[in-house]
Amino acid sequence: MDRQSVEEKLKRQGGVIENFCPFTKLMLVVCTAVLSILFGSLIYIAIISAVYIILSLAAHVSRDFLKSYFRLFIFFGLMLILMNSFFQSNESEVLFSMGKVSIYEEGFYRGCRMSSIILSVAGGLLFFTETTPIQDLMVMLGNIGLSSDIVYVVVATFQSITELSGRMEQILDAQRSRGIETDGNLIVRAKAVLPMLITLLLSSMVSAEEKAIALEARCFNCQGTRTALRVYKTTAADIIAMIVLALITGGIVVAGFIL
Amino acid sequence: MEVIRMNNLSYRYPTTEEYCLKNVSFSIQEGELCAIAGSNGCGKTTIGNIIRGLIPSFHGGEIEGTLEIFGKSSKEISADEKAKRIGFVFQNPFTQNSGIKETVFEEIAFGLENIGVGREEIITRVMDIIEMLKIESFMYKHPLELSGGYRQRVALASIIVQNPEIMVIDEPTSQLDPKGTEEVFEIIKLLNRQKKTIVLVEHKMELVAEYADHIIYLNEGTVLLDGTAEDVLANEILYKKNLEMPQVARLGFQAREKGLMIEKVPITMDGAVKIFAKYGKCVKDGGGSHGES
Ligand SMILES: Nc1ncnc2c1ncn2[C@@H]1O[C@H](COP(=O)(O)OP(=O)(O)OP(=O)(O)O)[C@@H](O)[C@H]1O
Ligand SMILES: [Mg+2]
Repeated sequence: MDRQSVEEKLKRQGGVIENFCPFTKLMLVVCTAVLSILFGSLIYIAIISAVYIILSLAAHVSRDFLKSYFRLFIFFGLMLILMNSFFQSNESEVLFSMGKVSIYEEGFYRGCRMSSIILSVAGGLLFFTETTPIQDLMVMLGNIGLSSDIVYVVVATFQSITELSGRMEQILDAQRSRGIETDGNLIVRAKAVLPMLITLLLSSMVSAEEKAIALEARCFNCQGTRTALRVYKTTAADIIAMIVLALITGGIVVAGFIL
Repeated sequence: MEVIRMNNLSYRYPTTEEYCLKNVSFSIQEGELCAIAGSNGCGKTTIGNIIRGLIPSFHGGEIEGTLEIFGKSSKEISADEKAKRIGFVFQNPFTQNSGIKETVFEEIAFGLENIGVGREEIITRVMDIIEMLKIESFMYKHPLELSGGYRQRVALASIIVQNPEIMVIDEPTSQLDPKGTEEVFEIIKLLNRQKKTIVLVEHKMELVAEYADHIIYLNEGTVLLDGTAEDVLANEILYKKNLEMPQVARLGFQAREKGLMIEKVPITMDGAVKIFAKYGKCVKDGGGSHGES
């Protein structure tokens, strides 16, 4: 154990893309949201999906990201388009019809726009959470001047969700191995999960008091300035990425209005 | 030098009628490893919580008598000062972590961040503690992925790094296996050698006998015995009243009852071996105490 290796460990691991500071990633969400509101369409959906897939591959989070993005795509993206297309009450031009079922032009375009917005924002946030360690989030929240109590609550909530879902999986496995049905329709699942959820919540309530004492012992409630072991600075890569994002977005917006 | 003095202290929890501490008085010297011993429910944890300042500020209740720490009335010491100068480690290995740090190294650093220690100094201090407690092998592991024994060592490290003058440690090993227990007590021994004042709340008499310099033995909320480990644990009162004591001490008294006039009652295994070795022949011949060992 030498100082240099410690410093190395305290630095962010991973490549350029996942190491972008949280603000850069949030800017990506904002830019895609703006573009989707202005130019949402079938082509936009294709492009934004391609962009996210490439980003997730580059950031080495493609497995988890793609799984969630695919669900998002099917359940929200596609659904929004279909629903809007079929159930368009206004008299508008029929784009395509097959027997009694017709797809209306106005509804189809509206569906595509809504779907674009959802996929952009949700996909962006998904990318954000997949690539941002809780530590980064914490430092970021602290940097924008939130009090340490609030930062703690936010971060601890994130952590405990991960911990709880881990424990939930364990319990579900245990139940399964004892022959209790845990898969199947909603009611079957609820029956399996509900008692466990109550136990989990109760146990976490009991430990809340001890947690408070533990934090007190670590001087969490002490007055005065704090320091941080991890310091994340906005790097040159972040600045370049932000400029590029701004330019692309601005360029597309301007081009869109001129053409 | 005296660091802790309790005078005629009585206390009851807000939810109970009965006082769970009655007229408790004792003093603890600097650099001492003082065990608060006694059976379940006799008020050990309550005393630890009073010294740490969690009672009455956190738990409420009614308190009479006085407590002086560092020569001042405990009431005059601010919560911040208590947090910095009186460390606290308790039983549950699973709730004693910040819950927001991703490596053991950063977990240990958390307390120092909270009191605004400079980054360079934090790294130096955390590295020193990790080396001292020999926990290098899991210093970059996630704190929430560790076993109970490892977590308890991290909990100790996290407090020790804050360099408190007094450490209150409440049954740190009650949820650990023998190996985990030994490793935790190695750390406590190390602290004792470094002349840190330690208040160890513990009901396992074997541990108390082995490690404590000074024992305050409680019974039903009052101080029954107060003195060195030998004075307290080899005291006949414990045997007569059938209170908790080390197995070997009980064996010693039983041996005496059977007529084996050992010169003193042992309190540790090593002590017992030395004392009984003198009667080696007798035991080989099938002496009275053979069945008990
Ligand atoms: N929060 C509380 N509210 C009310 N009564 C309490 C509370 N905590 C402890 N007591 C009671 O106070 C008495 C002393 O409890 P304490 O926890 O100090 O005992 P202990 O010696 O630490 O026991 P153990 O060996 O079980 O840890 C017990 O009778 C207990 O029931
Ligand atoms: Mg206790």
